[in-house]
Amino acid sequence: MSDLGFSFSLSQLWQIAGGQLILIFASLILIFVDLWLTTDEESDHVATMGWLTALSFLVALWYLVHREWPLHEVVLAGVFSAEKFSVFVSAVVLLAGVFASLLSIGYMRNNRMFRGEYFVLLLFAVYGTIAMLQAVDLLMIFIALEVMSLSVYSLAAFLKDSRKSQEGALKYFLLGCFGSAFFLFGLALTYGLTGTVNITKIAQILSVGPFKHPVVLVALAMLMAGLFFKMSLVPFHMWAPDVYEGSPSIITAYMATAVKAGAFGVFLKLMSVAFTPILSLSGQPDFQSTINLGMLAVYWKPVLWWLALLTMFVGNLVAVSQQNVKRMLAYSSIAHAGYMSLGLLAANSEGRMAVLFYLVVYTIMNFGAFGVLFLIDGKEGKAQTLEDYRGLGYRYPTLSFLMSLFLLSMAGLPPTAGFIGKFYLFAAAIKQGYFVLAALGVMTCVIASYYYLRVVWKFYMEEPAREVVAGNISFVTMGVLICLALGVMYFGILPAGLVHIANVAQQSLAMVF
Amino acid sequence: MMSGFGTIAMYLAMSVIGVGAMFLMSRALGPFRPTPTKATTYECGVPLLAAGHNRYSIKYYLVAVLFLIFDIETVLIYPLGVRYSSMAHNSWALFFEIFIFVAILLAGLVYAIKRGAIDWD
Repeated sequence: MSDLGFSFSLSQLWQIAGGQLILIFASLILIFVDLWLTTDEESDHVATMGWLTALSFLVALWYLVHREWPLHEVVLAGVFSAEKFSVFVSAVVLLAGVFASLLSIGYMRNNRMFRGEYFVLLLFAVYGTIAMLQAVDLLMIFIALEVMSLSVYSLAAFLKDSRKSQEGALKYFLLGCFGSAFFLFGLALTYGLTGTVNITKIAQILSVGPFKHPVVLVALAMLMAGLFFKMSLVPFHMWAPDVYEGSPSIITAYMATAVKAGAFGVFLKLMSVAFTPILSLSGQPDFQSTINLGMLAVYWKPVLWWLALLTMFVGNLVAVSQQNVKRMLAYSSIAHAGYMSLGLLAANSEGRMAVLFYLVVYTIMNFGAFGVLFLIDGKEGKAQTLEDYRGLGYRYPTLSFLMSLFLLSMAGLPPTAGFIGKFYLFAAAIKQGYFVLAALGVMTCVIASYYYLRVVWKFYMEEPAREVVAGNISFVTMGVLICLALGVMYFGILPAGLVHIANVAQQSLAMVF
Repeated sequence: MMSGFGTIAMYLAMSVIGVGAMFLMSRALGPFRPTPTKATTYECGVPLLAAGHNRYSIKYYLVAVLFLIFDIETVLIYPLGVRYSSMAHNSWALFFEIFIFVAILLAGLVYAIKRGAIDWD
């Protein structure tokens, strides 16, 4: 026993935070491998780094998912927890890391950008996201959020010669600091109200204590603003298009999937643990506390209702007018965050399950689309516009087919995983009685299919405008893309397994805390 | 609890109002006749030599980062030293904990030096 009042041992540390430890060791080793590894060919160096990074992610992933987590030793020293929910979202983030590191090998070769520390920063970013998801302590959540953000800020600036990349990274950094400051202020107010940083204890204190005065609303609003910034919901989305367009394509895909997954995971955890009334021992909700914490939902739900609506409409409508496909995908990523916030709004078990399911599906199809995008691009920014995509279906049949498949999935057409994901999200919203929002959301899906299908139209129905030479298509890149395409089809046709796992994961939120 | 926050809010309001009032009153009550000479930056009374915004070498930034490594080390080792005797039942664990922490920071230092952070040429 240390004098913190928590029992703590090395074996527990390894059991609960083993995935994080693996990533920390891997990044410390890889940063020196990058330094001392000498190869004749720079692209070999990058390939070694990429494979080692992917291997570290896979080892951490295997460590996280290979075992059943016993419930009694699930919280480590009041800081980290390893319940199935955070393991699930961490697994999504690790998968995104595997895709990102493997696709980056091809990306770096095409762009002649041979920098080994890129992969180490990617490791740090994934580590930060996982630590944030596993944390049950507000301070740890913030520290991990900053580890993640700082790594991603520098990754966004990795195209040194591109003004867009530099501009995007600076915007992301400045606005991101602003968002983090809001989040931190929210944490500070919550601590001021409850006197604890542990999310379970916050729920206990808020359930019994007097919190009717408006400071708890200010705290909640600030926490939400900070997280909505990372999710790029609409009034907080201004940075997203520029950053997503300027960053290296793989990093864009990573930001749009893993960073968002982290923010959605933390939001779900905070909302369903810290700001949900604790049931009293008899299993019946304590009348007084339910009234109080129920009142909280009366305040934040209408806000999220409007944000979800605005996000879906603005994201999709602005995407229609984009000529640059990467920028279009950036706006589409904003719109997808809008769909996912339907699940947050529903705040029932179906909603949480749908968000988790959609995070997996969205990670797969987004990495697929950006993977094809950077291949067609060749060197960053050479062939990104819709004009460049004209007639590519005959010149590059495989790439065009894959891109069409990923875009159809994003549009949510039936045989693909995107359809199932959207179905569950809208079903959850409807079950909770948000009929108008669900109807309007489905309308935005129709708008979305216009600009997704327009790309497919350009591929197959128009004559080429100019000669477009795709970048070097390596075996690894193609392998990853085919795996992603198979994933999109598999979860579209046989979603039951993933739905079951997502359901178990979301149940653990209610069971553990 | 509310009174604590209320005090802070009061303090904030007072500082904003006080500072604002001082600025407004000096502008409203005092004479205001700007000349080009008055608008220049004050440089010990001699005529202005150059712009105030100089570009300086990025090396300073790296030195600052290296300094930060030692700075953080100090900040975390000091409290440990102060509390060490009261945690005697756990002293070896604490010793190794701080050892690992220093080792990680040392790795960062080695990396920075190998990358040429202190190669001045």
